Amino acid sequence: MSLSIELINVWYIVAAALFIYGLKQLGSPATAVRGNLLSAIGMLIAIVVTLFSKGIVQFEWIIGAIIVGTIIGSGF
Amino acid sequence: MEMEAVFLAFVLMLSIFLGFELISKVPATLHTPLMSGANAISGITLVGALTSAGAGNEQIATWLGATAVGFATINVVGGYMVTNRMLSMFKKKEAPPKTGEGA
Repeated sequence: MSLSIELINVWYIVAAALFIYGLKQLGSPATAVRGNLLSAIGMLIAIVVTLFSKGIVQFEWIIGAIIVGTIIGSGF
Repeated sequence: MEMEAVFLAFVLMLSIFLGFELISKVPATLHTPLMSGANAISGITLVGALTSAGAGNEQIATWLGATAVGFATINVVGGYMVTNRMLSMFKKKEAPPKTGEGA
């Protein structure tokens, strides 16, 4: 189930908007935590949408690498 | 074909102004979390690594792409969690120390 390149790029625009607004909120102590969270949600959208693109045919290596990276990155 | 370059130059100009405005009035105590958050955002290269790793090329290309995905995921996940840990030190308006006595 893959999406068209246009739809994927539309979702990239949404992710970019979340990055920009999250970065703006990162500049004030009251909203900084929420800004970081918004930016992370934007990153999550960008990654998930990319997995639906037509160019990706094999997922085993990707899923394994993401799991290993998440475990190492979160420090456990 | 040239019009696409013009549009991209337009986007570049807007992004320069936008980036400057976003960064310019950040208070000094938030400089380090801002740097850390910007580092996590730069992990968007994970998207490129996903395309490389999943393209179904030869085995060595897939393996290198998967390694890139792994490292980029460490960058993204670690970056956001470290930034969150830094920001959790800002409980009140007066600034407690922003780097860890934790861990």
